[in-house]
This record gives sequence, structure tokens and C-alpha cells, in this order.
Amino acid sequence: MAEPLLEVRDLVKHFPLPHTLLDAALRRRPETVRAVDGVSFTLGRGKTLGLVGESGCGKSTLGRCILRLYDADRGEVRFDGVDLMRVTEGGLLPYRRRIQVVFQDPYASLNPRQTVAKTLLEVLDVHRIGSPRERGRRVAQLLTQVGLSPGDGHKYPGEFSGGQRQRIGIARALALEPELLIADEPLSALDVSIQAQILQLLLDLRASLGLTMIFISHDLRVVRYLSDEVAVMYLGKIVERAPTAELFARPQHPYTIALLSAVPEVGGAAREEIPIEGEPPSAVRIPRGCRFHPRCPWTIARCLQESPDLKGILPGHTVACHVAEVRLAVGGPPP
Amino acid sequence: MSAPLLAVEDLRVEIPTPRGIVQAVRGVSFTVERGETFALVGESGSGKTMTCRAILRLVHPPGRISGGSVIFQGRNLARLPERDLERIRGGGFVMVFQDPMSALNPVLTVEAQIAEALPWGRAYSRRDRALDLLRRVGIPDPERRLRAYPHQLSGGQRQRVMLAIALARQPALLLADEPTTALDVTIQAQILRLIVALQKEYGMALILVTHDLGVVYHMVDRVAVMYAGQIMELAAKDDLFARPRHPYTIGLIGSVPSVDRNRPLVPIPGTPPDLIGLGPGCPFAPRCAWASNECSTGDIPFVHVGDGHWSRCLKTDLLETAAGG
Repeated sequence: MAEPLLEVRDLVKHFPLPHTLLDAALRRRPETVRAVDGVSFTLGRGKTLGLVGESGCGKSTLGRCILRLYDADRGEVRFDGVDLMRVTEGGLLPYRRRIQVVFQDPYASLNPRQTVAKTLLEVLDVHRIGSPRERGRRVAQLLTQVGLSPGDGHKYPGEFSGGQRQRIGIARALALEPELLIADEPLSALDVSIQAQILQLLLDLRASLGLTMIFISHDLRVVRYLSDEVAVMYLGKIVERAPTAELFARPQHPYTIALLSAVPEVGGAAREEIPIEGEPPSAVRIPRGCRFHPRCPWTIARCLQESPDLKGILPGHTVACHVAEVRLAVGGPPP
Repeated sequence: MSAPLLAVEDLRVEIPTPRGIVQAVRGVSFTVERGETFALVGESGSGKTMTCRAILRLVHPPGRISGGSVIFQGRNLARLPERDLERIRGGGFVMVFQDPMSALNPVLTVEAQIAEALPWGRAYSRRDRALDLLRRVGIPDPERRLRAYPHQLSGGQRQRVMLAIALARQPALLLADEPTTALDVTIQAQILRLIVALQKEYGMALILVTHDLGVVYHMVDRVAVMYAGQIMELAAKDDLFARPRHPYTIGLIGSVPSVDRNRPLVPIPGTPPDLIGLGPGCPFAPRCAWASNECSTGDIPFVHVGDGHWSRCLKTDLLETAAGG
């Protein structure tokens, strides 16, 4: 098997909270938000991994750690065989070219005082790509590629609609011909009809450019269209990972099943449903044992004590749940 | 047949801006029956929220209601003096907003805000009533939550408190403007289940404003699809999804991704029109696959296409076969 393009191993990123008076009085270290709490996965060339979870599950932090926008506390991020965590800030430039990102809010991530052409040219200038004339041509080509016209380059971000701005954000990410594209909720700020347009654009671009992608989203419906594989995150950890069709057909982790049952579907087939009550606990006080157990309908004694590891239970399908393993073995409903 | 609970007739809202007048709502008419769940569906700028605000006469200046009538329980709200209107807003019907943080008072406790909404002059403990309401909306540890301030609550809990405040007046009609859009999907499901349960318990009618057809599919009886300030299609929910008779509705349904069916997405090309200086004809025509020359001239009639089913389109006959699949 070919070497994966990206390999993440035991990645940990904690954010310390401000030192409080109580901390001082008790002479203890300030509490931390355990945003990413030991995540591992590999991603093959040309594949797309969908990273799904609710707010605060750590999916965006994970993306930012891979981009080295945050420095992770521990673990490895191997990109094309090189551990990015050990590369110095100065040595990162070539990798910044090979890994690009599209953000959720296309307005906040574009400079409102720069024309779109200037924004795109700047990217090419920083990385010294082509001669000045070639750069001009490349900008026109990029705009066409994302469904805008070359003339749009003279306009400012404020003159575009949300969907068009997201097209510009995508053009900027593609300007450097990246190998890995991290898309962090690129559709969440858009209306339904525009969402479908941008989704289609990403599908087309991926096919024509052979991109490897990490697609971060809270919306399982959208993830299904783009991903080869899906990883579900809860409170800083991946709780289930499987090829897309497999995950949707045979979800094993109670949280995945709950997420799927919560999606308001038009139509919708009969499937196992778990309505969950309560809200996710704070990432500062992660429950002992399995981090999902306070909301889980299947909890057994073991779940309160022992945090389950991700285990392969079906071909290509891994789950971190004590009960799912047993359940699959006996083929019955939850105990 | 008895009169409907709410009848909106030819409602219009204009907002003057430096660039010109935005025609936010352009002649919206519909009725809501007692206990019914009615959805106003549309994308940003379709006028769904503004329609709701206009019903309550809560349009902020310089925006203004430029025409139409709103009959609620037999009274025309458009003619009512502000003082009487205040009473109806508090009692007859109430609105729940998308962002509860900005609708709640940040410096008052939950108890104070619920108590404020309770009707005056009844012999009961306001505290017990508030506690009872918090229990009904499923707030964990309600005794403690009475003393909490909004910032100490999560988004889902704030929306529950909003519902408790709404229920304090025992309204006949609840207007909910994107009540779950800011929430995570598992919390959204909880709040929607709660709204449905409370609606049954209190026998309220509900107007749900949303952009999410998935939510509509699971919650409502009838749907109005809005685009560029007009209702494009109005039908019973099952009818709308099975036999959509407006190209925009067909496009919207085709744009919704699904976890179950592996069907390709069919996006609607183009973007919604500028609501300033809208010309004659159908505002959707530039994005419509069925449009012809006649679509961009004159007013498009709202035609009756089936039992309780209306569409603002000249091509409904062509659509019948097209949308069959």
C-alpha cells in the first residue's frame, strides 16, 4: 500500500484557562480545555476524510493543529513522511503551500480593502510562483475555475454575495495547487440553494485536481456527499470511523446513531434511533471512563471506569465503545 | 366554517435605504387555524422573518408596514392602538427568536424574567409558577436555574427559558423564528420535540419560520414557501413534498442534502435578486429552467393547483410531469 499523505498520531491540544484566585488559593495549576485529547488517523492521497461533531468537539482545533495554526502539545502530524511538529517556523513555508484551508466565514477571512485579484496575487507573490505576467493569467484562470468571471477580480469582497465570497476563498486556497485542502465548515454560513452550489463546486474541483481533503462539518448530510471516510468526534476524541457508506448504513457508536437520528430529514428511511437528552459536558471537566457515558442509553459498569479505545470491529470500521463490541458479537439490541 | 385564528392579507413591508427602497414583503396573504402548525420557509432575504415581525407590528424604523391587514381573533391589528397591541403581544401571541441571548435581559435572573411575563392580579406564588414552567420546558435542576443569569446558561437552555417565558402568557399563537438554527443538531432535536409537545399540551397554533426543509417535513401541517418577499407556493406539507408545483420549491427540495438517499444534489443556479427596484414579472425567472419571455412581464397570479394548494407560476401544467419523480 502506498504511504498515506497525512498521518496524525496521538495528537493532543489543551488550552489552559486563565489562572484564577481559587487556583492560587489551592496552589493548583489552572484548568485546561481538552480540545483535542489524543487523536490518530491516516489519510491516503486523493481521499477525503469527513470530520463530524458538534460545537466544542475539537474538530476545528484538530484542523488548525494540522495546519500548524496552533502548535499541538503532543503527538505527530506526518505530512508526506515529515513530522510537521518538528519543522521550524522558517521551514514551514513550503508546507503552507502544500496544505491550504477554506474557512467558514468567507467575509471574515478576506481583506475587505483589497480587490479580489490583489488578494489572489498576494498569495502567488509570497510563494514566488511564476512571472508577474503569468500570475495575472493564473488569477483569471482561478476565478474561472471557481465559477466567477475574470472581470470579478477588480471588485472588493463586499460586492459579492456569501456564496460568491466562498468561491473566492476556495480560489485563494487553490492558487498554490495544494495537495491537501482542509475545509472547515465551508458551507455553514450559506443558504441551502447556495450550499448545494458550493458543494458541487468542491466535488468538481476535487475530481479535476485530485485533491486530498479533510472536510470538517457539523452536518452529517453534507459530509455524506464529499467524504470517502467519516470520523465522528466527541469531546476531543474520535469515537467512530468508517468508510462513508458503511458508517451511514451500520453506525455502531451510540453517539453516531444519536447524531443520525437527530438529523431532520426530508423523507427518511427507518433506522435505529437514539434520542439523546442532556447536553455535552464542558471540555474542561471530561467525564471519567467513557466520555459519552453520562448521555449514553447503553451505559454499563465498565463505561464508568475505563475509557474505550478505538478498535476495529468490522473491516475498515473502528469504534470506541465497550458495548458496541459486545452488541456486534451477539448481533442483538443494546443490553 | 369559523373564522381562522389569524388572517394575514396583502401584507407589505418597505425599508428605505441609501440605495433605494427594499421591498422586503410584497403582498403576503395566508391564514392560520387554531392549533395548527404553519411554516414560513425561505432563504435569507426571502422576507419570512420580516413577515413575522410585521404581524406583531415589530418592524423597526426606518422600515415600515406599507399595506395590508392582520386579523387576529377577529381584531385588525393594523388599526389597533399601540397600548392594546402590547396586550396582544404579551398574551394572545408571542414570538421566540433565533438568538435567545439577545432576546433575554442579561442583567435579570431567569426567575425575574419569567415572573415579568406572568399575568398580573392572580392569586398564586409567582415563584411557584416560574418553577413549574421551567420544569415543563425540561430545564435540569430548575430551583437553581431560577437564580441564574442568561450568560450562565447554554444555548439550548436559553431557548428553553425563552419558551418558558412565552408559555407564561398561555398564548393562542406562538411565532418561532428559526428557534433552533443556532443550536447543535442533538440539541435542536430536543428543542423541536419540546415545542411539539408544548404545542399539543397548550393547544397553541405555531408559526415556524425556518430555512430548513428537514425541520418542516417533521413538524408542520401546512407550508408557505417564500422568495423575494412573496409566497411562491402554499400547500399542505405532504402535498408540497410529494407534488411541488413551483420551480423554486422543486429547486429547494433538490438542494437539500440527505443522509439516507444517495441521490445527487441539484443546486439552483444563480443568486436571489436584489430587493431594491424589483421589476415586473416573476423574481425567480432568472434562475428558473422553465422560464420564458412571458414570465418577466406583468404580475404572476397565485393560481389554485389543487386542494388547498396554490402556486405563483405560469408553468404549473409543465411542472406536474417534471416533478413527478
